[in-house]
Amino acid sequence: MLRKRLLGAVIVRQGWAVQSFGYQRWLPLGKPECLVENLDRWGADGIVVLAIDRGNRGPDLQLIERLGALGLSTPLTYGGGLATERDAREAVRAGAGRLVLDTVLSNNPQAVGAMARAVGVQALVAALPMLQVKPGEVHHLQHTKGSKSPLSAPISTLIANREVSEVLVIDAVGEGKGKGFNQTLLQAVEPLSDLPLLAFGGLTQAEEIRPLLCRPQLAGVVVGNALNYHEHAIAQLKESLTDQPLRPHRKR
Amino acid sequence: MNSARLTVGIVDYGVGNHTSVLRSVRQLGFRVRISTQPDQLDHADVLLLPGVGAFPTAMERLHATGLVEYLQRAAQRGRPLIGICLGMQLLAESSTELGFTLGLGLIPGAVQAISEPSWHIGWNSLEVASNQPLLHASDGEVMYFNHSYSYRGPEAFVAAWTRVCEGSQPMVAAIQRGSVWGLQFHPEKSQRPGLELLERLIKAGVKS
Repeated sequence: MLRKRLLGAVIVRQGWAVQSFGYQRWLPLGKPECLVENLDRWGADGIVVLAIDRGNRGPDLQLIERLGALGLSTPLTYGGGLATERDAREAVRAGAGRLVLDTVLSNNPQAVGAMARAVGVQALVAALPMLQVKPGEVHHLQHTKGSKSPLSAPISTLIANREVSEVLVIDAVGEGKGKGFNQTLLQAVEPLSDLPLLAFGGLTQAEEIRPLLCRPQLAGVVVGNALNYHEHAIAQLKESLTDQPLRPHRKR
Repeated sequence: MNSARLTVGIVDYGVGNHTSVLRSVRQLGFRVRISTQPDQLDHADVLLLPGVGAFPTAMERLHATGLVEYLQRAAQRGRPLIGICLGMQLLAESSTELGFTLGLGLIPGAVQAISEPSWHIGWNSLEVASNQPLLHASDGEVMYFNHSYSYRGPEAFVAAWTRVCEGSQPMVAAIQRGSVWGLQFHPEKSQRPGLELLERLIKAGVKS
């Protein structure tokens, strides 16, 4: 049976792993390699590295290569600066197993098809930072433009047409706050297609993760800050969630 | 057997990432050569064909680098060859990913889109076929999969299955024909169970 996943996230800004608070404040944590190596050693189901300040500089290939050189035996997903087919090819060639697409979805959604042809649709994950603006109304946050608006038609179409293989729904308000994930955001994305969803932002406790894992379309949760402060955080979370279809905890 | 004396040749055809496979094989204690050159790959005891990407692009690259004939000859001569993920799919006769494309034709069967659901991404357990003693130690182990197309072919070549849901139709997880093996999952990304399986296959390939 396909298991749901508990993935660890590492946010990278100016080359350093940071603790992010709602995309507004950042607390340095150390070298990304150290955090990624820990997640690999502790038995995460996957590692998501998001370089959040790449802008139009392309993917951080040196970072991906350094992470690849660690000899990880855990799937590595990278996001940040991916705008073209060449970026996608080079990021995969550098060592990323899957790619998280964010800004390109808004700026140039046509590029996603070319990326899929180059590295395979199964390698592409659409990241949607979302926030609830009022009851029943969810907006898509576009960092680079500093704007929020309902999910655009091109992005909705891209998801409906399965031009990516998963959607990473990010709680842009809850991110870094540890107050749980707003499930309304998932409700806004679920009707678009049957693509598996991942939830990220605000998740620290098993009690917050359990109701998400009960959603049929949710394939996994991504936990960031909470995993950095306890050596056995992954094991503890999984032990608290044995009633859920997660892969049993197993150290590397 | 001293695994450090064995050499694994990673077939580099310019698609996907070979670093993680290279590191994993080295961690297991084997020597590794990564090359596009047949004369370099000739020195390997076991050939490893990794792959991330789309089938047509990968076959195009294999043709462009002259590796199609090389791999076909290697298999005919009984050289051990292990395909991983897309590398496994390339072993089949054809694929319908992004149109019809001929594969290496080393194992009878075709690669077709997965239906219901359209993806198989994440960790799933293996159901090893009863005639595969080499894989028995991995029966029930959970491996990492990431694909939207899968192999379909004669059951005689299926070494292991997996299922998205209990009771659902099985999906092929591993194939074998003689010294040619295909693994739909990523052993190099499946932590200890994956590395153990990969080590067994490499060592067994050399013995056979």
